[in-house]
Amino acid sequence: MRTTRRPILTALAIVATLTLAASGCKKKAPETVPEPPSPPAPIEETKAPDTAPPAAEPFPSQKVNTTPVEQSIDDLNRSGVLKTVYFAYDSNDIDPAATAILQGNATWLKGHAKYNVEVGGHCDERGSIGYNVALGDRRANAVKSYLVSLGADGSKLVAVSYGEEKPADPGHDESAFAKNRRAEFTIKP
Amino acid sequence: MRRTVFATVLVATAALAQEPSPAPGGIRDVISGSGFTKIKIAIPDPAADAASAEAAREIAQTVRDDLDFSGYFEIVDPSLYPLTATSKEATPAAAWASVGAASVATGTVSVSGGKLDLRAKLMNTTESGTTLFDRRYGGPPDLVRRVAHQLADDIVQQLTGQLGIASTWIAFVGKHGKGKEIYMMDYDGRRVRRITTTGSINLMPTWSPVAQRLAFMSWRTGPPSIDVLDADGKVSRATTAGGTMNISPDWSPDGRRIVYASNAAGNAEIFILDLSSGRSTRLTSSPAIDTSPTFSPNGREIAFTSDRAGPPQIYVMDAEGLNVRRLTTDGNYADAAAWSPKGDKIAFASRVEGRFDVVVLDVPTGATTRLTHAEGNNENPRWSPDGRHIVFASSRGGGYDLYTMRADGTDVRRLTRGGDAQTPDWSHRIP
Repeated sequence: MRTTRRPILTALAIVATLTLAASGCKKKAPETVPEPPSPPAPIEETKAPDTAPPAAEPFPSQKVNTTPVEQSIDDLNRSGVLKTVYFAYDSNDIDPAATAILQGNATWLKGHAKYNVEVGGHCDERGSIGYNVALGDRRANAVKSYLVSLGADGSKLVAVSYGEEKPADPGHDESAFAKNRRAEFTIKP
Repeated sequence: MRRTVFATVLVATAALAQEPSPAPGGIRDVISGSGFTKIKIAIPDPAADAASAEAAREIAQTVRDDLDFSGYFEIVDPSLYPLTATSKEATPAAAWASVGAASVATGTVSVSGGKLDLRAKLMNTTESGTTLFDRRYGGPPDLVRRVAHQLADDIVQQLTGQLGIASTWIAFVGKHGKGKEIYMMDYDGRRVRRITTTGSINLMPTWSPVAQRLAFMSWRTGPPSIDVLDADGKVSRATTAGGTMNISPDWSPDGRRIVYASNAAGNAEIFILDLSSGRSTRLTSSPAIDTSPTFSPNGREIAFTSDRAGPPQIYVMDAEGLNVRRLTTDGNYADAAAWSPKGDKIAFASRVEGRFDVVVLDVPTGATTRLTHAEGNNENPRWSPDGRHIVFASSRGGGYDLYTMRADGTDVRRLTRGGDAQTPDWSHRIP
């Protein structure tokens, strides 16, 4: 059955590639859709998304619902199934907004128990480098504990502090600081 | 990291004259008192043929810079040196005395056949020109600065009775690609070289007090862990207590143990690792963060950072973990304690109104002195091995760069310019 569908899927993949290239999106095609063997010439022309005019749709829209058998880990991480939570200054308290997010994350984790997940704890740059590593650890572990209390498997969760070393926003103002005081999730192979 | 990372340096020195008698106690007394008079010294370029003239100039300038940095010396203006050649004084010593020099180091240098050969003579211009030492220094030609630093340290020791610091190094962390690697440089900011290649983040290198070894924390394999880098470039992972965070290493004075912070027991606590047995012992037990431990020079106490009473402050405990007491109340946030080599002072970073300054606490009295004053953030102070200088990271120029200052906060000098240098540590004297 797969074999018979392949030509259609290949054509769709080309359409998808063209569209994605034109929009500058780097999202990979789902794993069940094979890459086109050798892209036809017009694809080359769409490589400058900023300057090229929008590519005309080369085929009429033929939307087919496909369900990937399994998303890759990269896709899962990109799709943000596990959402980042944020902290107040010098705090590892899980506030109501974070509570709601973590409840959603816990639900996903319980439904996908086979994945190992890193909980990365991060700080803004205002503290000292040394203390911030310990503070990031406290944040990551607070999140991990809360997820475990909601039924997630603690043996699949690893809390890793990055201190202030990996800011989400490189800025030096309060809005950047607020984005950097966080715990974010990375699904691991 | 396969190469010999610490640039194995063999500067052969040979005493040509008899070992000089120790410097007169009088000089020592003068320079250790307050308001001492600096020793006036002339450092002319060593005599050299045309092929070696550049090395001669670099040696003399490096020695002058080293002696100036030491704080013990006033360098006689080199523009006066030619006057000694036409002087009508009876002796060379008298000629140097006539331009104001109490001491002079003269020499000859040659660079040939892949070898640098410096012969240097230190002379007193009073007491009818006593020769204090006459030595040869040799090494490969690319170690011109290293040779000069050795000569400068010998001059310091001869004339002050103190050990110099010109041959010391500073290890630090610098951005490299998307990560941060460990770098080292001479104490004066020259000869910068990168000594790790991990493609990851590494922080807080710390020199072993007794060997050419660095401990540091690294994310190279995932969670932050402690690595030890040896002079041959070999990196070994310290067998820490477990958990997912093992950070902030510092060596015991004998180099046999590493004190560090770990979350092996749940939250950040201080542990000590015995390197020969590989066994770690827990020293603190509090629900708060305990981190950034550092040994006192006599090995009896450990200072560390804890937020057990609110914002982080510096505490001190016995090396066995007992008798914990709070040391700082300065500002609202303190971290990165560093004992002076004598153990009588602790430098740390203190934050007041959103900015870090380097503060020094006098251990016997508890009195604090702020050494930097609201020029950006000033953090991670570490002492020179003679306790006369402090290296620190400051954002006063925009990004973080490394600076040195005298232990009283004066004579600030900038060592790096990339805007991406942090967590310095000053080497002990190179064995």
